[in-house]
Amino acid sequence: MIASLQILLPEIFLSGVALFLFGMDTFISRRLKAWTIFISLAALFLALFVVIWSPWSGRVFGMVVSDVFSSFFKILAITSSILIFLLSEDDPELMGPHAGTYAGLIILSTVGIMFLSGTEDLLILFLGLELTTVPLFILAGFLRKEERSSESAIKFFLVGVFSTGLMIYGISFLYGLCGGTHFSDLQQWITTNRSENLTLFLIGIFFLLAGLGFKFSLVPFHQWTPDTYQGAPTPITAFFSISRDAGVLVIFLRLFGHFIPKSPLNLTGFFMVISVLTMTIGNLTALRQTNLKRLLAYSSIAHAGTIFIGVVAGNALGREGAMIYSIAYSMMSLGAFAVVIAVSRIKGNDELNAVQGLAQENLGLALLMLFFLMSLAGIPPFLGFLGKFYVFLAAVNEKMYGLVAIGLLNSVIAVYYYFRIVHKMFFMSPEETRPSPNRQFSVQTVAWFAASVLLIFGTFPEPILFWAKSASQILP
Amino acid sequence: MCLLSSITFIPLIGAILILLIPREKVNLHRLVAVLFSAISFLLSIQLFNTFNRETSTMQFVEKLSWIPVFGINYHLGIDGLSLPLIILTTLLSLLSIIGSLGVETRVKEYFFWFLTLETGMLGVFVSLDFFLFYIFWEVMLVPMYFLIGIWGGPKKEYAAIKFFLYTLFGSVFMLISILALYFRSEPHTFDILQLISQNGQFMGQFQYVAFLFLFIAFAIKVPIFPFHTWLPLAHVEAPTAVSVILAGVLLKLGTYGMMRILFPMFPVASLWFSIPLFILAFINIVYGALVAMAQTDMKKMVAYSSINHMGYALLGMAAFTVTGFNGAILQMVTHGIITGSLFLLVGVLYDRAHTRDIDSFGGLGARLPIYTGLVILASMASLGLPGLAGFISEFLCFLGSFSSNSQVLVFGTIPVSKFFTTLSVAGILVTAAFFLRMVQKVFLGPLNAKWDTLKDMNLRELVSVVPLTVLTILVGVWPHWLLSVMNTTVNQMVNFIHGVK
Repeated sequence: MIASLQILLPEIFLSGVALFLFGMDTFISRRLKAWTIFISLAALFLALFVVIWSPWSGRVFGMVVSDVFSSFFKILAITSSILIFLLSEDDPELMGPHAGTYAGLIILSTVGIMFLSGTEDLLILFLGLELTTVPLFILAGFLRKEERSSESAIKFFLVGVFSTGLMIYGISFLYGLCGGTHFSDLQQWITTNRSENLTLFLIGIFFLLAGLGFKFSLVPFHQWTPDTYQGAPTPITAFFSISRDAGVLVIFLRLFGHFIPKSPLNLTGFFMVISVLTMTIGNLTALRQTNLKRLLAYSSIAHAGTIFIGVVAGNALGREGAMIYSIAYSMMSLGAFAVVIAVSRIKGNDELNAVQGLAQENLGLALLMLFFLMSLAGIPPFLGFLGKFYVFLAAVNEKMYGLVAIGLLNSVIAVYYYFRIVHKMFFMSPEETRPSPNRQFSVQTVAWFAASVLLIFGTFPEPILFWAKSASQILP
Repeated sequence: MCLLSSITFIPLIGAILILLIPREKVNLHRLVAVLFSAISFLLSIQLFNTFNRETSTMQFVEKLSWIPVFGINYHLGIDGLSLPLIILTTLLSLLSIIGSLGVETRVKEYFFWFLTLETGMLGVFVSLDFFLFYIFWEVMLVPMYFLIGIWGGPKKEYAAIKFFLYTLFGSVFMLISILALYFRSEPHTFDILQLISQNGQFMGQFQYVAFLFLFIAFAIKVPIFPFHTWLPLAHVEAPTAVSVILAGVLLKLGTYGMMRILFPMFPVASLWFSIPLFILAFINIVYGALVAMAQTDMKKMVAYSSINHMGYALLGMAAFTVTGFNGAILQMVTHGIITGSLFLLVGVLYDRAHTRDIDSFGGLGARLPIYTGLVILASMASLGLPGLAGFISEFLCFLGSFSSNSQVLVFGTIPVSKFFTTLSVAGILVTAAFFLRMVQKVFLGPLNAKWDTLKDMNLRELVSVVPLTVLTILVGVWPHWLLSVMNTTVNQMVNFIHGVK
């Protein structure tokens, strides 16, 4: 039993590093504090290597499993948080006096996602979600001098706590019915005595879904997203979009893709409605936004809806599609936020007007942003297109033509608001010439990295498809 | 030797090179653009020389496994249908790049987008995999959006986004059909040739729905009435060289898609759709011509005449006869050549006078003899004067559609195909009317003193226009060299479509 703990080595190691980093905040010396970023990056890279080349797989206490599927999301989470560190590296407010706290919280949140990716038990699911979100409550309010940041943190906190309550309530129903919290207990219950008490079971599932819906910002549980996204420090906003995706998606895939077949519960229609609503409302609201972060927030809601199509389809293709899409989404949203950070450091704000005339000031940055927006809009040859193509392929395979049609029409709507940004960048002249910006080396690195991942895997997707395929085969 | 890949991707290499050259070196950007599009053009001439005219199978095939998980291949190949259009694309791109050497604002971006656009267009013509086809089809839109939106006329931004969203909307239908076809075929495939050879599996209702979806996607590009509303706006607002590409190549993508994919893949639905196609072609011809007649802006007039001319190509296709198909392909090429030169010529005048209003000119013939000669020749070709390119192709289209014997009768005696062909001839009359009126008002009569100082065409402008004029005459006098390329393919295609019935 204890020997199986070695499977959790990366998680344990990272948690230790996080605690150490909290301790580092007590040092007075500035010189020592400068090491924070290096320590965190080194730790994350080490964990990444261990996850990639780890010889161990199996179950820990029958609750957490380590397989290709979980390492897929672990790698995604660790890579993203490395990029998040690079995005916040030269921000004096984030990496200033409380650098240790900041770094430690991000790492803890990452560990939460890593736990979620292997969860096979409702308790671990709950703990993993809390571990992911509780650090984010603090991180969202990390800009203590700004009202918006505090507002964002409070909103997120209240909603988060509420959804946690709902979820716990749902879990207690399920526990009472099935006599266990392991996913297989639920599965067993549904296959053996599903005739009686099915309503109670469904109520439990619905509460669980509502909780997850809050975290995944599925309509109608999405209202917190824009305010939180806008107010939080931009690197944290980027982190939100990724952690949400990876963390909650994996639950949907594991729980509803594997253990609880949707058909006896007749959840497909319900899921379909949620997906359609999420896409459409996210997109229609995004049309009217004038703040870049808010616009990306609403678009992220729409993307959650599109990724959800993969879950709705419920076949192997859909699972792979959702996984490919989540890689693509994390890269393009990280890239887009990197450009927003770079621009807002030059212009001092993150309104839509900040990018006005960017093509004439800095063509490279404008082209990078164009790539991310094209990818977000699902225009080839970027990975975003492939993700979309994949989930739609899965849905067509299930003969859900209506869903595909609505999804595709939504992507046309999305093009309109993404290209409003393009319009500002390329068609308008800059308002006034600003002094040439500092190089912003690390932010540029993130943007270039994301763009090359999107372009390379967009044109030569075979390795990534193969990886997703082998990962999703773990689930039946 | 991967000739097709070279032709397609050499412009893209040029575009990347341009991106790496600093912004200030304007002349270097121009040089790279001309050079790379010229290489691509020369290679396509090589294609023409080595092309085997006796066979209808795909030639210069390149097939590499690309995404094996879905059986997607990097599959390129050409036949008599795509070859003329490829040469047209490389030629028009080269000439319009030469024609736009005078662009002064944001030169670097201009040529970057132009070369990317060329790659996108060529890619559509050479790809034989539906996935690849779709990628090129979509990729092409983005450069076009920028070219219209940055360097266009007063309403450029609206024109750009309207064009972009309209065509994207069309692609939605295409993507759904692509996905549906993938699961219908057995084994699942995206390969266009395999899908065509398996078309027996697309029977019943599925065939008609898929046909209509793809038809809408292509019809928006052509554009077929009532999907034409993006065209006048985009054509008028786009800068001269981009209008040339829009009219010369982009519109052909729609008709090309129909002949390459739509008709062979759904033969039964296509033959069933023959009569609606006749009616749509008739509307395009007459409506386009009448609206063109009402214009006072020369560019708008040429733009609407494009709707009219694409109507001829549709008429040729609607008949599903060898003559008609030959005429339709030839019409695509000649329309590209003639309308391309007309747009370039209108641009020449606009650069000097800063107006395109037909009524504000007069008597230019005395001031600008060379220019006048070229415009009159292009106009005559466009209205179908015998001896010039337009006549041959329009004649073939009419002949082809008239010779088809439709079972459905109008007024109890006349086959519907003959009926609409006859009505469509009226379009020629209207076309002649508005071109002659334009020639009369702009070039004849007393010289408007305001334009006393206009200069005739310079060398750069001549280099970009004269090759098209020469081709207009060449195709008009001796069309065999072009028809011989496509004839074998067309024969096979028509037999194939009728054979499945």
